[in-house]
Amino acid sequence: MKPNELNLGLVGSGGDGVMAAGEIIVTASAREGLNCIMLKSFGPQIRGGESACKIRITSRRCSVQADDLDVLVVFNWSDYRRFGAELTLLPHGVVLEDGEEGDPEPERPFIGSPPHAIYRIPLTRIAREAAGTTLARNMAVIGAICGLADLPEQSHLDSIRNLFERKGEKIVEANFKAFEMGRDFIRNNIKRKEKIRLVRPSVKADPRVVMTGNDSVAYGAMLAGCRFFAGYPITPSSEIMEWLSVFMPKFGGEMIQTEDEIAALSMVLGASLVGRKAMTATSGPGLSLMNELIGLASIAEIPCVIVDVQRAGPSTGIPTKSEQSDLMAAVFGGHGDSPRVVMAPTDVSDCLDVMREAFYVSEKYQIPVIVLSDGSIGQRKAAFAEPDISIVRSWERAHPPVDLDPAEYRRFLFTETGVSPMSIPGVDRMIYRAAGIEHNEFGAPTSEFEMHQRMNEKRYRKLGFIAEEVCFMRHYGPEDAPVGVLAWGSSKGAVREAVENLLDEGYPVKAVVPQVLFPLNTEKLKKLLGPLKKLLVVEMSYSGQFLNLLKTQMDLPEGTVHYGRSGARYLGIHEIMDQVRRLF
Amino acid sequence: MSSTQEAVVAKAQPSDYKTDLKPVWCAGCGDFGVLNALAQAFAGLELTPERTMVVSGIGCSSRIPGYLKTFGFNSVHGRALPIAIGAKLGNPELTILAAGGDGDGFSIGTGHFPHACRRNIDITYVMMDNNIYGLTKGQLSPTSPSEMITTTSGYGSVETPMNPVGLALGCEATFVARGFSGDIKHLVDIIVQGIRHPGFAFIQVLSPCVTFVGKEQFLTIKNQLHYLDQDPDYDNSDLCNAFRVVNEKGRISVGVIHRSNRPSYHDKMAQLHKAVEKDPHKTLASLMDLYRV
Ligand SMILES: Cc1ncc(C[n+]2csc(CCOP(=O)(O)OP(=O)(O)O)c2C)c(N)n1
Ligand code: SF4
Repeated sequence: MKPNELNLGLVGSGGDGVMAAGEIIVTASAREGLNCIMLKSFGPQIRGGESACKIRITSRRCSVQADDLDVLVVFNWSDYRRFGAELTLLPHGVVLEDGEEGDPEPERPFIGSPPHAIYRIPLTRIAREAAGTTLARNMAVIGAICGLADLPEQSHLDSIRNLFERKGEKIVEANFKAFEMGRDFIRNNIKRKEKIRLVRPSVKADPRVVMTGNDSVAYGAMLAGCRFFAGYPITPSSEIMEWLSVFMPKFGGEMIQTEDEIAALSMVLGASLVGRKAMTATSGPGLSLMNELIGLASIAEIPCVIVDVQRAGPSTGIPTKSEQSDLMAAVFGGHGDSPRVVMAPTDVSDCLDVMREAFYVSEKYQIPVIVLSDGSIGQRKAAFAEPDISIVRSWERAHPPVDLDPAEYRRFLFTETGVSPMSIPGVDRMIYRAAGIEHNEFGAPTSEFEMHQRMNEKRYRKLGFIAEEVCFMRHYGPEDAPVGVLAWGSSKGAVREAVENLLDEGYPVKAVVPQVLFPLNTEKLKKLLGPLKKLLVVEMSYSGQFLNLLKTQMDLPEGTVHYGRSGARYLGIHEIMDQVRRLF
Repeated sequence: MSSTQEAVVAKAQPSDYKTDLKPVWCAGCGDFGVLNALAQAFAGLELTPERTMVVSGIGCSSRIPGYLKTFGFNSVHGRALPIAIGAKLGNPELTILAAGGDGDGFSIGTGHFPHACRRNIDITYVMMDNNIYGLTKGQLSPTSPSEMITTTSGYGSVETPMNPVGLALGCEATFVARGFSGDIKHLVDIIVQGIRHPGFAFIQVLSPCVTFVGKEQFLTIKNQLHYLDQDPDYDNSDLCNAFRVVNEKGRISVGVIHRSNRPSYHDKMAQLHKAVEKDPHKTLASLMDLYRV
């Protein structure tokens, strides 16, 4: 029972306009200065078919979708079956369904606790009357929700206008009409339920923006100076490429859709060699194909950023659902000893920051950086305070000194940091031969043990400096709490809220979420975990990849417990709370 | 003053384009001829080494960037083309060449070839065809002739070889040529034309492996050469003509087999960039407008 928050779920078939309705609600809420997250679920069909969205609106900070709903809108009960497990109701939750009084009861295959009330609204009739088409049912629904939960009407009307403006004033008016009839039906027929009212903040918050994680990744890359993108479509990362196809050329960059992921990373390396800040984006199967080239980037010391928007399962798995199970592939999926950096954004706005950081590290240290986003972040739409885009930690590569005798230029010069001056064709005078084959400081091939050993030392040396320099770790809760939770990436949302709720309940608990997973600043992490009696490691991986990765980098506190499970269902706030309570 | 200065500036020499690194190739390997031809072509074109890059995959032949005094990248097996394409897109002002063997380009790397052709990006691809895998010591190659006995086809190959020139023509490459590493002078001319061609230029160079195929292959090829540029009946702009010389019996046509003028990727990109110039988003910061509510 949180009057400062409202959780909605909508489910229907293609054509019901579930997503369009969701987006209108999200923008309207953002206009009111509220925070908002919308998750989309689709059935396995490519187009049409059933779809659902889950929206959380709150005046508080909002890190994750809520576990259960206040209001569930069912356009179609047969579609509910597929998503029921994701759309469970709170004890006071109500259902809105299409129907006339006196219609026979439909079969309602509820999952979880039964609704407090089911409200039948003649959506089809309203839509026909107002707009002459059943397509406007979703507008009637928005009206009904506004009537029920006292949502800001004007902002919704504005959002509806935005959506239909292109189609002319008549269409806008018709949709307004459907909205109003839906709202009035609720007002006239249903007693207001206080429990599902959203109390809006009295002071208007900072301006909000609404974007997806994939938008945020693409935008962040451009802000970081990325001007080359090569990629191959794969769910759930494709929107990054789609976004860049529009904006890359407008800012003097190149974006190319390649024949496969191998070509994608190859082109990225080619472009990077000639001085472009370059990236690709993919999902698990694509990352696997890129593996050999990640090794190449590592040994030839070529900056590049690879975004992996993770999905569930090996192979095709469950491509439309999220998981955190490419961690091992990202960190260790190489042949030979091939240092790379792995970092992970935790939510939509974080994607922007992590991309800026990824390019900074990659360019400065001339090393491949893998960014592990996931489907739940990439495809979620979030409203949040406008990020500050003026902070760009841009980095220009170390060039060889201009007065150096070209014959003396050593591309792979041994230095204290492991970073050597990188000559750029067409910019610098010094030419060199780069190689995936082991080489000496000049780039000439070698197969000697000593040189291989020294080159490995050089390349790995960078990791120490990186761990030292980029080691942002989020942490929540009191420093001296005896119980802690350690998580990464998108798990942060549920973990953070679980910790906040538990603190409210009087449990002293804290959470730590590192942004760079490899190389990990173990000193810093140890300090944060130091006072703990019990530690819970949380992740969305059945085999416990995060736990295993941590173990390779440090000794975990004695009392460490693990909670890792498969993806394809989001981590719930209560799920984490239950796990933590057990430790007390 | 300036005229006397010009007089003392020496013309670029092929040796200017060679590194001190001693090639690891077997004595008599055809790839020496390709190396010499490239150095001569670079000198003839007076390419600036700082603005030239040779990208290769893996194989004996792919060692070639190490021996050329330009920017070079000896990368991974089969990916010379997309890396070269990335470099060219990254900076279209550079002269970019891709180089490698038949295994590199037409086994593991085959998938990239049709796309290089259709995109018509301005790079030159020199494929050194020795009909065998040299570096891994004598296995079957996609261009090994039928019945050829190799370490992995002990009873003779039961496969039909692929014809790289035919493939290039089928993929609508805008410049397709064949050369022979035993005729360096002729090869230099082809390479120069290829580099000058404003689009994707594919050059198959017959470059025998003396170790795993045998020295006699040089003679076999030499005796069958048919120079298209000396053939008054040959019009290389006619694609039908070109297909006729792909797989001849008793002779091997060398020279520029086909050339056509399709707009290059860069031409089209320039058009695209012009078209989007009118865009209202002049700064990255203004893109935030897309997300403000
Ligand atoms: C991914 C991968 N697979 C296999 C190899 C082993 N390999 C190296 S070179 C080569 C074939 C070389 O043949 P070709 O490209 O014709 O070049 P040549 O040595 O004959 O000049 C192979 C199979 C490799 N380096 N990488
Ligand atoms: S093995 Fe064959 S291709 Fe390789 S260097 Fe020797 S002769 Fe040349």
